Amino acid sequence: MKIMIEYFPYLVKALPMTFYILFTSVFLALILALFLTWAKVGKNKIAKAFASVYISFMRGTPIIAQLLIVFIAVPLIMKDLGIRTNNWNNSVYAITAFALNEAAFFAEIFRSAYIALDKGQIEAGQSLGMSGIQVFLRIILPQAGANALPNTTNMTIELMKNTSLGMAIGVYDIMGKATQLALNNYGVGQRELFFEVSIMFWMIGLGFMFLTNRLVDYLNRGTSEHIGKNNRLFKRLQVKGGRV
Amino acid sequence: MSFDFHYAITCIEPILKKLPVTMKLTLWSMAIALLGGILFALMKKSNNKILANVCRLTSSFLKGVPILVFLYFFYYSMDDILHALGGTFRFEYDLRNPPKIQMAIVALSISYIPYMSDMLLSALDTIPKGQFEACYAMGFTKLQMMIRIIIPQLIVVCIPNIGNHFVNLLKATSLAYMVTIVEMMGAAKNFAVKNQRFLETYIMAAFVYWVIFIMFEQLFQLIERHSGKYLKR
Repeated sequence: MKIMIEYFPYLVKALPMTFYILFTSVFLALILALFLTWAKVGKNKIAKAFASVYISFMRGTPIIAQLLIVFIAVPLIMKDLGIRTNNWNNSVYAITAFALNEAAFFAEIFRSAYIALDKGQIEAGQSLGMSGIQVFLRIILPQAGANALPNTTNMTIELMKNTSLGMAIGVYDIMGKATQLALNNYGVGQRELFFEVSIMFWMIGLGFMFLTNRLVDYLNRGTSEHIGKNNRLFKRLQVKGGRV
Repeated sequence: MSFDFHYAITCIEPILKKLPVTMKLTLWSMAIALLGGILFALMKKSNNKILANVCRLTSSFLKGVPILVFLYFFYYSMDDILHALGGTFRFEYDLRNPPKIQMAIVALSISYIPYMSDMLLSALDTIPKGQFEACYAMGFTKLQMMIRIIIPQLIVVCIPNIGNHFVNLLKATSLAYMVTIVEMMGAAKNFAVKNQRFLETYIMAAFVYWVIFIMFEQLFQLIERHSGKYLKR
Protein backbone atom coordinates (compact mmCIF):
# COMPACT_ATOMS: atom_id res chain seq x y z
CA MET A 1 0.00 0.00 0.00
CA LYS A 2 2.81 2.37 0.90
CA ILE A 3 4.55 1.54 -2.36
CA MET A 4 1.38 2.25 -4.29
CA ILE A 5 1.08 5.74 -2.80
CA GLU A 6 4.76 6.35 -3.45
CA TYR A 7 4.47 5.41 -7.10
CA PHE A 8 1.21 7.20 -7.78
CA PRO A 9 2.60 10.68 -8.68
CA TYR A 10 4.97 9.16 -11.23
CA LEU A 11 2.15 7.29 -12.91
CA VAL A 12 -0.09 10.36 -12.95
CA LYS A 13 2.70 12.26 -14.70
CA ALA A 14 2.51 9.66 -17.50
CA LEU A 15 -1.25 10.13 -17.92
CA PRO A 16 -1.03 13.06 -20.39
CA MET A 17 1.03 10.86 -22.73
CA THR A 18 -1.68 8.19 -22.76
CA PHE A 19 -4.39 10.77 -23.41
CA TYR A 20 -2.30 12.51 -26.06
CA ILE A 21 -1.78 9.28 -27.99
CA LEU A 22 -5.41 8.27 -27.51
CA PHE A 23 -7.06 11.50 -28.64
CA THR A 24 -4.73 12.26 -31.51
CA SER A 25 -5.04 8.78 -32.96
CA VAL A 26 -8.82 8.74 -32.50
CA PHE A 27 -9.08 12.10 -34.26
CA LEU A 28 -6.94 10.95 -37.20
CA ALA A 29 -8.75 7.61 -37.31
CA LEU A 30 -12.14 9.35 -37.52
CA ILE A 31 -11.04 11.33 -40.57
CA LEU A 32 -9.52 8.29 -42.26
CA ALA A 33 -12.57 6.19 -41.39
CA LEU A 34 -14.89 8.66 -43.13
CA PHE A 35 -12.92 8.19 -46.36
CA LEU A 36 -12.91 4.42 -45.92
CA THR A 37 -16.65 4.36 -45.32
CA TRP A 38 -17.21 6.53 -48.37
CA ALA A 39 -15.10 4.11 -50.41
CA LYS A 40 -16.90 1.11 -48.98
CA VAL A 41 -20.48 2.27 -49.60
CA GLY A 42 -19.71 4.18 -52.78
CA LYS A 43 -19.84 3.02 -56.37
CA ASN A 44 -16.14 3.28 -57.24
CA LYS A 45 -15.06 -0.37 -57.57
CA ILE A 46 -11.31 0.19 -57.18
CA ALA A 47 -11.76 2.27 -54.04
CA LYS A 48 -14.16 -0.34 -52.70
CA ALA A 49 -11.71 -3.20 -53.26
CA PHE A 50 -8.88 -1.22 -51.71
CA ALA A 51 -10.96 -0.35 -48.65
CA SER A 52 -12.07 -3.97 -48.22
CA VAL A 53 -8.51 -5.30 -48.34
CA TYR A 54 -7.31 -2.57 -46.01
CA ILE A 55 -10.03 -3.24 -43.44
CA SER A 56 -9.49 -6.99 -43.62
CA PHE A 57 -5.74 -6.59 -43.12
CA MET A 58 -6.13 -4.27 -40.17
CA ARG A 59 -8.69 -6.54 -38.53
CA GLY A 60 -6.78 -9.72 -39.28
CA THR A 61 -3.34 -8.88 -37.97
CA PRO A 62 -2.27 -8.31 -34.38
CA ILE A 63 -1.95 -4.66 -33.42
CA ILE A 64 1.54 -5.28 -32.09
CA ALA A 65 2.70 -6.45 -35.53
CA GLN A 66 1.23 -3.31 -37.09
CA LEU A 67 2.94 -1.16 -34.48
CA LEU A 68 6.32 -2.75 -35.14
CA ILE A 69 5.88 -2.49 -38.92
CA VAL A 70 5.06 1.21 -38.65
CA PHE A 71 7.92 1.74 -36.24
CA ILE A 72 10.38 0.28 -38.73
CA ALA A 73 8.84 1.27 -42.06
CA VAL A 74 8.10 4.95 -41.42
CA PRO A 75 11.73 6.00 -40.76
CA LEU A 76 12.84 4.11 -43.88
CA ILE A 77 10.20 5.80 -46.04
CA MET A 78 11.06 9.18 -44.54
CA LYS A 79 14.74 8.55 -45.25
CA ASP A 80 13.91 7.97 -48.91
CA LEU A 81 11.97 11.23 -48.93
CA GLY A 82 14.91 13.01 -47.38
CA ILE A 83 13.35 13.77 -43.99
CA ARG A 84 15.38 13.15 -40.87
CA THR A 85 13.52 11.24 -38.19
CA ASN A 86 16.30 10.97 -35.62
CA ASN A 87 14.76 13.37 -33.16
CA TRP A 88 11.13 12.39 -33.60
CA ASN A 89 9.39 11.20 -30.49
CA ASN A 90 8.41 7.53 -30.53
CA SER A 91 4.83 8.53 -29.81
CA VAL A 92 4.55 9.65 -33.46
CA TYR A 93 4.85 6.05 -34.62
CA ALA A 94 2.44 4.86 -31.96
CA ILE A 95 -0.13 7.44 -33.05
CA THR A 96 0.31 6.51 -36.72
CA ALA A 97 -0.11 2.80 -36.04
CA PHE A 98 -3.11 3.20 -33.74
CA ALA A 99 -4.81 5.64 -36.12
CA LEU A 100 -4.34 3.32 -39.10
CA ASN A 101 -5.61 0.35 -37.11
CA GLU A 102 -8.54 2.12 -35.51
CA ALA A 103 -9.72 3.62 -38.80
CA ALA A 104 -10.58 0.16 -40.09
CA PHE A 105 -12.75 -0.62 -37.06
CA PHE A 106 -14.40 2.79 -37.14
CA ALA A 107 -15.14 2.37 -40.84
CA GLU A 108 -16.96 -0.90 -40.15
CA ILE A 109 -19.03 0.77 -37.42
CA PHE A 110 -19.89 3.76 -39.61
CA ARG A 111 -20.85 1.52 -42.49
CA SER A 112 -23.31 -0.45 -40.39
CA ALA A 113 -24.73 2.79 -39.00
CA TYR A 114 -25.14 4.12 -42.54
CA ILE A 115 -26.84 0.93 -43.71
CA ALA A 116 -29.29 1.18 -40.80
CA LEU A 117 -30.48 4.55 -42.11
CA ASP A 118 -33.72 4.84 -44.01
CA LYS A 119 -32.66 5.38 -47.62
CA GLY A 120 -35.92 7.22 -48.34
CA GLN A 121 -34.71 10.10 -46.18
CA ILE A 122 -31.63 10.61 -48.32
CA GLU A 123 -33.77 10.54 -51.46
CA ALA A 124 -36.17 12.99 -49.87
CA GLY A 125 -33.28 15.30 -49.12
CA GLN A 126 -32.05 15.07 -52.68
CA SER A 127 -35.51 15.73 -54.05
CA LEU A 128 -35.67 18.88 -51.92
CA GLY A 129 -32.62 20.09 -53.80
CA MET A 130 -30.02 19.61 -51.08
CA SER A 131 -26.44 19.26 -52.20
CA GLY A 132 -24.41 16.17 -51.27
CA ILE A 133 -22.72 17.95 -48.39
CA GLN A 134 -26.03 19.27 -47.09
CA VAL A 135 -27.54 15.79 -47.17
CA PHE A 136 -24.55 14.45 -45.32
CA LEU A 137 -24.47 17.18 -42.67
CA ARG A 138 -28.19 17.54 -42.06
CA ILE A 139 -29.59 14.05 -42.58
CA ILE A 140 -26.91 11.38 -42.45
CA LEU A 141 -24.60 12.69 -39.75
CA PRO A 142 -27.12 13.45 -36.96
CA GLN A 143 -28.74 10.01 -37.20
CA ALA A 144 -25.84 7.80 -38.17
CA GLY A 145 -23.63 9.60 -35.68
CA ALA A 146 -26.03 8.91 -32.83
CA ASN A 147 -26.30 5.28 -33.95
CA ALA A 148 -22.57 4.80 -34.20
CA LEU A 149 -21.59 6.59 -31.01
CA PRO A 150 -21.90 3.72 -28.48
CA ASN A 151 -19.84 1.37 -30.63
CA THR A 152 -17.32 4.08 -31.41
CA THR A 153 -16.71 4.77 -27.75
CA ASN A 154 -16.40 1.06 -27.06
CA MET A 155 -13.69 0.95 -29.67
CA THR A 156 -12.10 4.01 -28.12
CA ILE A 157 -11.93 2.27 -24.77
CA GLU A 158 -10.40 -0.74 -26.51
CA LEU A 159 -7.83 1.60 -28.04
CA MET A 160 -7.19 3.13 -24.63
CA LYS A 161 -6.33 -0.34 -23.43
CA ASN A 162 -4.19 -0.92 -26.50
CA THR A 163 -2.13 2.23 -25.94
CA SER A 164 -0.37 0.19 -23.27
CA LEU A 165 1.35 -1.61 -26.17
CA GLY A 166 3.24 1.60 -26.87
CA MET A 167 5.84 0.41 -24.42
CA ALA A 168 6.98 -2.13 -27.03
CA ILE A 169 8.49 0.74 -29.00
CA GLY A 170 9.56 2.81 -26.04
CA VAL A 171 6.67 5.21 -25.46
CA TYR A 172 6.39 6.30 -21.84
CA ASP A 173 2.68 6.16 -21.23
CA ILE A 174 1.30 4.66 -18.00
CA MET A 175 2.41 1.14 -18.78
CA GLY A 176 5.81 2.18 -20.10
CA LYS A 177 6.37 4.31 -17.03
CA ALA A 178 5.35 1.42 -14.78
CA THR A 179 7.86 -0.96 -16.35
CA GLN A 180 10.52 1.71 -16.13
CA LEU A 181 9.77 2.21 -12.42
CA ALA A 182 9.84 -1.53 -11.86
CA LEU A 183 13.23 -1.79 -13.52
CA ASN A 184 14.61 1.16 -11.57
CA ASN A 185 13.75 -0.56 -8.32
CA TYR A 186 15.06 -3.94 -9.42
CA GLY A 187 11.58 -5.40 -9.38
CA VAL A 188 10.64 -4.44 -5.81
CA GLY A 189 6.91 -3.88 -5.45
CA GLN A 190 6.06 -4.89 -9.00
CA ARG A 191 2.86 -6.59 -7.93
CA GLU A 192 1.50 -3.45 -6.30
CA LEU A 193 2.67 -1.36 -9.21
CA PHE A 194 0.89 -3.37 -11.89
CA PHE A 195 -2.19 -3.63 -9.71
CA GLU A 196 -2.23 0.14 -9.46
CA VAL A 197 -1.82 0.47 -13.22
CA SER A 198 -4.77 -1.85 -13.78
CA ILE A 199 -6.92 0.18 -11.38
CA MET A 200 -5.99 3.35 -13.26
CA PHE A 201 -6.95 1.86 -16.61
CA TRP A 202 -10.23 0.65 -15.13
CA MET A 203 -11.06 4.09 -13.77
CA ILE A 204 -10.29 5.81 -17.08
CA GLY A 205 -12.49 3.28 -18.87
CA LEU A 206 -15.35 3.82 -16.41
CA GLY A 207 -15.03 7.58 -16.86
CA PHE A 208 -15.34 7.21 -20.60
CA MET A 209 -18.38 4.96 -20.21
CA PHE A 210 -20.08 7.49 -17.93
CA LEU A 211 -19.46 10.35 -20.35
CA THR A 212 -20.74 8.41 -23.33
CA ASN A 213 -23.88 7.30 -21.59
CA ARG A 214 -24.64 10.95 -20.87
CA LEU A 215 -23.89 11.90 -24.46
CA VAL A 216 -26.00 9.10 -25.92
CA ASP A 217 -28.90 10.11 -23.71
CA TYR A 218 -28.52 13.67 -24.91
CA LEU A 219 -28.35 12.73 -28.60
CA ASN A 220 -31.31 10.38 -28.37
CA ARG A 221 -33.57 12.85 -26.55
CA GLY A 222 -36.98 12.89 -28.13
CA THR A 223 -36.93 9.32 -29.36
CA SER A 224 -39.51 7.03 -27.77
CA GLU A 225 -36.97 4.70 -26.17
CA HIS A 226 -35.39 7.54 -24.30
CA ILE A 227 -38.68 8.94 -23.11
CA GLY A 228 -39.69 5.49 -21.95
CA LYS A 229 -36.51 5.11 -19.97
CA ASN A 230 -36.84 8.31 -18.03
CA ASN A 231 -40.55 8.89 -17.70
CA ARG A 232 -42.45 7.19 -14.93
CA LEU A 233 -45.88 7.85 -16.41
CA PHE A 234 -44.82 6.26 -19.68
CA LYS A 235 -43.63 3.17 -17.83
CA ARG A 236 -46.88 2.83 -15.92
CA LEU A 237 -48.89 3.07 -19.10
CA GLN A 238 -46.71 0.46 -20.70
CA VAL A 239 -47.11 -1.93 -17.81
CA LYS A 240 -50.87 -1.66 -18.03
CA GLY A 241 -50.66 -2.76 -21.61
CA GLY A 242 -51.58 0.56 -23.10
CA ARG A 243 -49.75 1.82 -26.13
CA VAL A 244 -48.55 5.38 -26.13
CA MET B 1 13.41 1.43 -48.59
CA SER B 2 14.09 -1.94 -50.14
CA PHE B 3 12.05 -5.06 -49.76
CA ASP B 4 13.92 -8.34 -50.18
CA PHE B 5 11.42 -10.92 -51.46
CA HIS B 6 13.78 -13.86 -51.33
CA TYR B 7 14.53 -13.20 -47.70
CA ALA B 8 10.85 -12.62 -46.97
CA ILE B 9 9.94 -16.09 -48.21
CA THR B 10 12.53 -17.70 -45.95
CA CYS B 11 10.84 -16.02 -42.95
CA ILE B 12 7.66 -18.00 -43.32
CA GLU B 13 9.06 -21.33 -42.21
CA PRO B 14 10.42 -20.39 -38.75
CA ILE B 15 7.25 -18.40 -38.05
CA LEU B 16 4.91 -21.22 -39.02
CA LYS B 17 6.93 -23.65 -36.92
CA LYS B 18 5.65 -21.87 -33.81
CA LEU B 19 2.00 -22.08 -34.88
CA PRO B 20 1.38 -24.95 -32.41
CA VAL B 21 2.41 -22.71 -29.51
CA THR B 22 0.03 -19.99 -30.67
CA MET B 23 -2.77 -22.51 -31.10
CA LYS B 24 -2.05 -24.00 -27.69
CA LEU B 25 -2.29 -20.57 -26.08
CA THR B 26 -5.47 -19.75 -28.00
CA LEU B 27 -7.33 -22.98 -27.43
CA TRP B 28 -6.51 -23.32 -23.73
CA SER B 29 -7.38 -19.68 -23.02
CA MET B 30 -10.59 -20.03 -25.00
CA ALA B 31 -11.60 -23.14 -23.06
CA ILE B 32 -10.82 -21.62 -19.67
CA ALA B 33 -12.48 -18.33 -20.60
CA LEU B 34 -15.62 -20.18 -21.69
CA LEU B 35 -15.76 -22.15 -18.45
CA GLY B 36 -15.21 -18.98 -16.44
CA GLY B 37 -17.79 -17.20 -18.56
CA ILE B 38 -20.38 -19.89 -17.82
CA LEU B 39 -19.58 -19.62 -14.12
CA PHE B 40 -19.83 -15.83 -14.19
CA ALA B 41 -23.08 -15.92 -16.15
CA LEU B 42 -24.60 -18.34 -13.64
CA MET B 43 -23.48 -16.19 -10.73
CA LYS B 44 -24.83 -13.03 -12.36
CA LYS B 45 -28.18 -14.76 -12.84
CA SER B 46 -28.28 -16.16 -9.32
CA ASN B 47 -30.67 -14.87 -6.69
CA ASN B 48 -27.86 -14.06 -4.29
CA LYS B 49 -27.56 -10.33 -4.74
CA ILE B 50 -24.13 -9.97 -3.15
CA LEU B 51 -22.65 -12.67 -5.37
CA ALA B 52 -24.21 -11.16 -8.48
CA ASN B 53 -22.91 -7.69 -7.68
CA VAL B 54 -19.42 -8.95 -6.87
CA CYS B 55 -19.47 -10.68 -10.23
CA ARG B 56 -20.56 -7.53 -12.00
CA LEU B 57 -17.80 -5.51 -10.36
CA THR B 58 -15.18 -8.13 -11.20
CA SER B 59 -16.17 -8.38 -14.82
CA SER B 60 -16.19 -4.59 -15.15
CA PHE B 61 -12.66 -4.57 -13.74
CA LEU B 62 -11.46 -7.38 -16.00
CA LYS B 63 -12.93 -5.58 -19.00
CA GLY B 64 -11.19 -2.34 -18.20
CA VAL B 65 -7.65 -3.61 -17.91
CA PRO B 66 -5.32 -4.24 -20.87
CA ILE B 67 -4.18 -7.79 -21.44
CA LEU B 68 -0.58 -6.62 -21.34
CA VAL B 69 -0.96 -5.51 -17.72
CA PHE B 70 -2.27 -8.93 -16.75
CA LEU B 71 0.57 -10.62 -18.62
CA TYR B 72 3.15 -8.51 -16.79
CA PHE B 73 1.38 -8.96 -13.49
CA PHE B 74 1.39 -12.73 -13.73
CA TYR B 75 4.80 -13.00 -15.29
CA TYR B 76 6.76 -10.71 -13.01
CA SER B 77 5.04 -10.80 -9.67
CA MET B 78 3.81 -14.31 -9.00
CA ASP B 79 7.25 -15.71 -8.24
CA ASP B 80 7.28 -15.49 -4.46
CA ILE B 81 3.57 -16.31 -4.14
CA LEU B 82 3.94 -19.48 -6.16
CA HIS B 83 7.13 -20.33 -4.32
CA ALA B 84 5.40 -20.01 -0.97
CA LEU B 85 2.41 -22.01 -2.20
CA GLY B 86 4.78 -24.67 -3.49
CA GLY B 87 6.19 -24.93 0.02
CA THR B 88 2.79 -25.44 1.66
CA PHE B 89 1.13 -27.63 -0.95
CA ARG B 90 4.24 -29.69 -1.67
CA PHE B 91 4.65 -29.04 -5.35
CA GLU B 92 7.87 -28.26 -7.09
CA TYR B 93 8.18 -24.67 -8.28
CA ASP B 94 11.34 -23.91 -10.19
CA LEU B 95 12.20 -20.23 -9.92
CA ARG B 96 14.66 -20.34 -12.79
CA ASN B 97 12.21 -21.95 -15.16
CA PRO B 98 8.76 -20.53 -14.44
CA PRO B 99 5.70 -21.93 -16.23
CA LYS B 100 5.51 -18.98 -18.62
CA ILE B 101 2.96 -20.44 -21.01
CA GLN B 102 0.56 -21.39 -18.23
CA MET B 103 0.81 -17.88 -16.80
CA ALA B 104 0.07 -16.36 -20.20
CA ILE B 105 -2.92 -18.68 -20.57
CA VAL B 106 -4.27 -17.50 -17.21
CA ALA B 107 -3.74 -13.85 -18.14
CA LEU B 108 -5.39 -14.20 -21.54
CA SER B 109 -8.30 -16.23 -20.26
CA ILE B 110 -9.20 -13.99 -17.34
CA SER B 111 -9.32 -10.97 -19.60
CA TYR B 112 -11.77 -12.78 -21.90
CA ILE B 113 -14.07 -14.10 -19.15
CA PRO B 114 -16.34 -10.99 -19.01
CA TYR B 115 -16.82 -11.02 -22.77
CA MET B 116 -17.81 -14.67 -22.64
CA SER B 117 -20.28 -14.17 -19.80
CA ASP B 118 -21.81 -11.17 -21.59
CA MET B 119 -22.15 -13.23 -24.74
CA LEU B 120 -23.87 -16.07 -22.89
CA LEU B 121 -26.25 -13.76 -21.05
CA SER B 122 -27.29 -11.94 -24.21
CA ALA B 123 -27.77 -15.29 -25.95
CA LEU B 124 -29.94 -16.46 -23.07
CA ASP B 125 -32.16 -13.43 -23.59
CA THR B 126 -32.89 -14.46 -27.17
CA ILE B 127 -34.58 -17.69 -26.04
CA PRO B 128 -38.31 -17.11 -25.56
CA LYS B 129 -39.65 -17.28 -21.99
CA GLY B 130 -42.40 -19.63 -23.12
CA GLN B 131 -39.93 -22.43 -23.66
CA PHE B 132 -38.87 -22.38 -20.01
CA GLU B 133 -42.52 -22.45 -18.94
CA ALA B 134 -43.26 -25.25 -21.36
CA CYS B 135 -40.41 -27.24 -19.83
CA TYR B 136 -41.81 -26.75 -16.32
CA ALA B 137 -45.25 -27.72 -17.54
CA MET B 138 -43.87 -30.90 -19.08
CA GLY B 139 -42.23 -31.79 -15.78
CA PHE B 140 -38.63 -31.53 -16.92
CA THR B 141 -35.98 -31.25 -14.26
CA LYS B 142 -33.71 -28.22 -14.51
CA LEU B 143 -30.84 -30.31 -15.84
CA GLN B 144 -33.01 -31.92 -18.49
CA MET B 145 -34.35 -28.54 -19.52
CA MET B 146 -30.84 -27.16 -19.91
CA ILE B 147 -29.39 -30.11 -21.78
CA ARG B 148 -32.31 -30.87 -24.07
CA ILE B 149 -33.87 -27.50 -24.80
CA ILE B 150 -31.77 -24.51 -23.84
CA ILE B 151 -28.15 -25.42 -24.55
CA PRO B 152 -28.66 -26.68 -28.14
CA GLN B 153 -30.25 -23.35 -29.01
CA LEU B 154 -27.70 -21.37 -27.02
CA ILE B 155 -24.83 -22.88 -28.98
CA VAL B 156 -26.36 -21.88 -32.29
CA VAL B 157 -26.89 -18.30 -31.12
CA CYS B 158 -23.38 -18.08 -29.68
CA ILE B 159 -21.35 -19.40 -32.60
CA PRO B 160 -20.84 -16.12 -34.50
CA ASN B 161 -19.73 -14.38 -31.30
CA ILE B 162 -17.50 -17.26 -30.30
CA GLY B 163 -15.85 -17.06 -33.71
CA ASN B 164 -15.26 -13.35 -33.21
CA HIS B 165 -13.75 -13.80 -29.78
CA PHE B 166 -11.67 -16.72 -30.99
CA VAL B 167 -9.97 -14.75 -33.75
CA ASN B 168 -9.49 -11.79 -31.40
CA LEU B 169 -7.88 -14.10 -28.88
CA LEU B 170 -5.68 -15.53 -31.61
CA LYS B 171 -4.44 -12.04 -32.35
CA ALA B 172 -4.07 -11.24 -28.67
CA THR B 173 -1.74 -14.21 -28.13
CA SER B 174 0.86 -12.26 -30.08
CA LEU B 175 1.25 -10.12 -26.95
CA ALA B 176 2.77 -13.11 -25.20
CA TYR B 177 6.02 -12.35 -26.96
CA MET B 178 6.40 -9.34 -24.66
CA VAL B 179 6.90 -11.73 -21.76
CA THR B 180 9.49 -13.76 -23.67
CA ILE B 181 7.25 -16.59 -24.80
CA VAL B 182 8.35 -17.78 -28.24
CA GLU B 183 5.15 -18.06 -30.25
CA MET B 184 4.69 -16.82 -33.82
CA MET B 185 5.49 -13.19 -33.10
CA GLY B 186 8.35 -14.15 -30.83
CA ALA B 187 9.77 -16.45 -33.51
CA ALA B 188 9.52 -13.59 -36.00
CA LYS B 189 11.38 -11.29 -33.63
CA ASN B 190 14.12 -13.84 -33.00
CA PHE B 191 14.53 -14.48 -36.71
CA ALA B 192 14.64 -10.75 -37.43
CA VAL B 193 17.29 -10.17 -34.78
CA LYS B 194 19.35 -13.04 -36.11
CA ASN B 195 19.34 -11.70 -39.67
CA GLN B 196 19.09 -7.99 -38.83
CA ARG B 197 16.20 -7.52 -41.28
CA PHE B 198 13.17 -6.36 -39.35
CA LEU B 199 10.80 -4.93 -41.91
CA GLU B 200 10.40 -8.03 -44.09
CA THR B 201 10.10 -10.35 -41.11
CA TYR B 202 7.39 -8.39 -39.37
CA ILE B 203 5.44 -7.90 -42.59
CA MET B 204 5.58 -11.63 -43.26
CA ALA B 205 4.50 -12.33 -39.68
CA ALA B 206 1.53 -10.03 -40.20
CA PHE B 207 0.68 -11.85 -43.42
CA VAL B 208 0.84 -15.23 -41.71
CA TYR B 209 -1.51 -13.97 -39.01
CA TRP B 210 -3.79 -12.54 -41.69
CA VAL B 211 -4.02 -15.85 -43.55
CA ILE B 212 -4.77 -17.75 -40.35
CA PHE B 213 -7.35 -15.13 -39.39
CA ILE B 214 -9.14 -15.45 -42.74
CA MET B 215 -9.08 -19.24 -42.54
CA PHE B 216 -10.68 -19.28 -39.11
CA GLU B 217 -13.19 -16.63 -40.13
CA GLN B 218 -14.30 -18.77 -43.07
CA LEU B 219 -14.39 -21.88 -40.90
CA PHE B 220 -16.66 -20.22 -38.37
CA GLN B 221 -18.90 -18.89 -41.11
CA LEU B 222 -19.20 -22.43 -42.43
CA ILE B 223 -20.11 -23.75 -38.99
CA GLU B 224 -22.58 -20.92 -38.55
CA ARG B 225 -24.33 -21.69 -41.81
CA HIS B 226 -24.39 -25.39 -41.00
CA SER B 227 -25.65 -25.06 -37.44
CA GLY B 228 -28.31 -22.50 -38.29
CA LYS B 229 -29.93 -24.81 -40.81
CA TYR B 230 -32.99 -25.57 -38.73
CA LEU B 231 -33.79 -21.87 -38.42
CA LYS B 232 -34.42 -21.36 -42.14
CA ARG B 233 -36.92 -23.77 -43.42
